[in-house]
Amino acid sequence: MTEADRREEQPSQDLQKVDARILGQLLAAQNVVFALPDTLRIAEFYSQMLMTIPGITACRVCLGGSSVLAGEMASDVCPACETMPHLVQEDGTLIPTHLDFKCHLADQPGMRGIAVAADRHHFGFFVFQIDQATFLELYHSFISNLSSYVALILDNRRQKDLLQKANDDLERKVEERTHELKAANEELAAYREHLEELVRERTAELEARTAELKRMNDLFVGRELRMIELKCRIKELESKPGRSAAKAVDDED
Amino acid sequence: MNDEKLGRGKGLQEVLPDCHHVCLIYDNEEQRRKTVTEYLASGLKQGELVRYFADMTSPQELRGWLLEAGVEFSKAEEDGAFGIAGAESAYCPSGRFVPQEVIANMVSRYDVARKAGYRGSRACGEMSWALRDIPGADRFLEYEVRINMITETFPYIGMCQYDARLFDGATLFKVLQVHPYMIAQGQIVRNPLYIKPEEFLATLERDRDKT
Repeated sequence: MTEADRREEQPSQDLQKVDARILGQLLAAQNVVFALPDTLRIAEFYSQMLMTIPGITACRVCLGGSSVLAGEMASDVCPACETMPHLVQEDGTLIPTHLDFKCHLADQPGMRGIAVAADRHHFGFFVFQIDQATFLELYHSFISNLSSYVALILDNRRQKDLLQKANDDLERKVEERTHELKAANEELAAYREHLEELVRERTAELEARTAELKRMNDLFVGRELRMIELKCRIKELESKPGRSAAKAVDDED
Repeated sequence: MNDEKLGRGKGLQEVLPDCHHVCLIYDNEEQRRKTVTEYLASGLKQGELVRYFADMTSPQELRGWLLEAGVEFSKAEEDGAFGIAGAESAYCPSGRFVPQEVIANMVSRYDVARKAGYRGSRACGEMSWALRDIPGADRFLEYEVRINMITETFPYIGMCQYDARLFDGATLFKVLQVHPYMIAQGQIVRNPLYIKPEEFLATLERDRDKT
């Protein structure tokens, strides 16, 4: 058997040593993460669950702003952790994966760590205190799968939250604009109403003035016609012999 | 138990064995409503004595769920085949929670049901009462594990509901360790996290000794 063959055969030999029950637990745990509402509960749940894996004597799960320890750990570097405070920044964003992001607890002797990170962000760590490294090595890739799965779920939730926030912002803006438009419409309606009232007033004024003019006109035209009529009568009477025009008019009256 | 019955895309009763102790861990009401309605409906359909122990849900709300899903339950409720009771009074009738007493009540309810011609006795309970300051409430995990120890003689059919927004993650993990079946996100799974009752009781005792 060549070295390459031996390397290829190694994983299948390792798999034979893996306890199917533990693998089942790891798979079942993936189902449960959906029902756990926040990072604290996820950390509490997984710290307990990972303790059931052979070779692990204590486990600390740091996710988002939550850090939960199951069992007792000999190492005590966590109080001075500089990483945790940055897991969730003030603006709610997470640390990008391209930045160097370390768990110093995982670097201590007898400890192992697995990052919980999605494509773009760090979410935290699974850190184990181990007594038999060979056992943990058997399950390492499966725990890594689990950590990736948790990261994926957390990333999805984060995206969903961002989407919800963007949606809420949009709805708020729409509401604000609707309010502004409503106010502008009301102002416009009030102005239009005022304008209509003004037109009505002016129309009434004009109509009154026109009526007055008409009455004056009728009066003046009537007088003029009467004058013309009288002038004609005077001429007619003056043309008659022996009567003065004044007398004739007096007689007529 | 028929493991082949477990599968996706089927109704609850199609995938659960005739006797089962299942937990529902949920974090939203819509999901719970669907599962609980289906679970109660399947019990009524199969001619079982069905009891719901409500803690956060009002009886009117529960009846509304069933009505909306088109489940015929009014006659069963009149006949006593279906009943809704307060979880706290059902689990802690004396004002104190004693696991053995509750289990004894369940067994006698099953016997009564069988004598009355029911196919079995089904219970569905909201477990949020266990978080209240009731004497003995901290023994709820012991109760859950002891149910599994009598399944040889008592065919338990029951679903325990745990609101993941109320219970902490470590407790939810222990809850899973004492239920042979679980429903998470609508999926029924033969629970690999379940451990032997004796093993769990030993862990409980160790934890008690520590505290």
